[in-house]
Amino acid sequence: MLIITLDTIDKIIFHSRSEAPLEACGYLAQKEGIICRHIEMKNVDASPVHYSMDPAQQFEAAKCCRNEGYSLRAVYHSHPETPARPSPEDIKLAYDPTLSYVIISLAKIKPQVKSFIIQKEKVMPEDINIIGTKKMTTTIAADVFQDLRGVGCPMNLVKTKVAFSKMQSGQILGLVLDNGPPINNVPRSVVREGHEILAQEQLDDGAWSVLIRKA
Amino acid sequence: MIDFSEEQLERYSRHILLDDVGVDGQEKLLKAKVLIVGAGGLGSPAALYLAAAGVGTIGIIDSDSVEVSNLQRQIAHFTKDIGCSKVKSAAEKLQAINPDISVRTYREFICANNITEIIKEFDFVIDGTDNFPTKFLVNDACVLLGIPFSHGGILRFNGQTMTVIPGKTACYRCTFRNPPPPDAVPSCAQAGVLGAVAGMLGTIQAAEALKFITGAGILLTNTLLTFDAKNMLFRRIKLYKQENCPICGPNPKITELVDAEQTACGFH
Repeated sequence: MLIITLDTIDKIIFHSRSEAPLEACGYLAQKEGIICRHIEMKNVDASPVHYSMDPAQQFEAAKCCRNEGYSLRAVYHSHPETPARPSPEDIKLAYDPTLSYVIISLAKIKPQVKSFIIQKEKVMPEDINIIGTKKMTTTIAADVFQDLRGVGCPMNLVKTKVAFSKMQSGQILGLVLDNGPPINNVPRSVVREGHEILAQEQLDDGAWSVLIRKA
Repeated sequence: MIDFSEEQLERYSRHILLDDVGVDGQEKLLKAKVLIVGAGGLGSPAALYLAAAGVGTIGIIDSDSVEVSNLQRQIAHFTKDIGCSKVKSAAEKLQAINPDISVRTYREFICANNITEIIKEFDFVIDGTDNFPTKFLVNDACVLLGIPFSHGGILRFNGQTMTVIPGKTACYRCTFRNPPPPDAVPSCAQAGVLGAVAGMLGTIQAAEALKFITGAGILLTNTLLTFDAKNMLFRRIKLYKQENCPICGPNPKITELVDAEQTACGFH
């Protein structure tokens, strides 16, 4: 059983979506049996179908975890186009039997997160228990997601409208908007068109994560 | 649904931002076909705005060549175009504004024999002609084929325009019945026209075409809009679809297209 906070799931989906169409990868670290921290690693393959980590960065991550009182619990990586199943290569390269292997699939609109224990090339699915009721569940709750950081006004609103035009009524759009005019203008404009803002939250980098239900 | 390129999203962003146009409206514009009859004072601004708006197919019919006296108001034509056919000159400008669209040119004089074949391909027609017989011919052909159109006319400081949805709203013949006797009304060539008046009216016609295609707002139907730019007075005259209209009434007298008598100066 992999016990992970909703916030952490949210963050690894966010990481996966930010890297797409390339595979994203990283570590999941636990404290008192609960995974509550993710460590984003650079995919040195920079490939849509492979990943590998930089040994120096791996070493750094392990050290940093230890110093902060965390222990490494799992490796995660994304499948931008394929289901959340370990590929033959994933199985072959799962060197550490003490870690779980978490795969985030972005193949469908709604992301899938699955965990596996891989020992001696044998794959066993592992249950995931998601804990925590964080108010903001941007990426996991969104049917469609758009990272509009770096996109100014009014093109961010244009792209939001394009995204809505491809969605059904009632579906949820997750947006990331820059601080300043974007966060001041885009939500106001979508409300004027009858859509509903479900949640809005500032991220660590100052940008805003917004969830909107399509009218 | 069209997948807009990044360049298209930027090009049409000001349309997409409009609630009444949006992504769907822009997609409709890109799929729309509009014919502009006459590449002159009205047709020039109308065509330029429709091209800029991304109307996917624009047809232009005109038999004339560009003359120096046209340049005071026919803004699709430049001094270098003098002597060149108006449809070619206009098509070049439309493609220069927007390479996304396709332009069909017809270098011929529109008449009863060719009008049906040409206009039947189009969703909307802009009447930018300069003479009454052709205005009635455009009305009759559009009514018979059921193609919505915008009527427009200008003289001196004045303009008038109305939008017709055949079978549903008052047509040009409901309102004016028959062309005036030849030479009863002077042409622009005789009476003169303020250049900007052509722009005012042609852009109203373009706006009507864009509204019709996107479904935005309320069209200028059952209404004649007239203006006097000298005093900048605008007036809306209520019109009614006439039961005894010889073309769109229930018992039409006109069932096929004929060319009305054309005055020589009407061509200019």
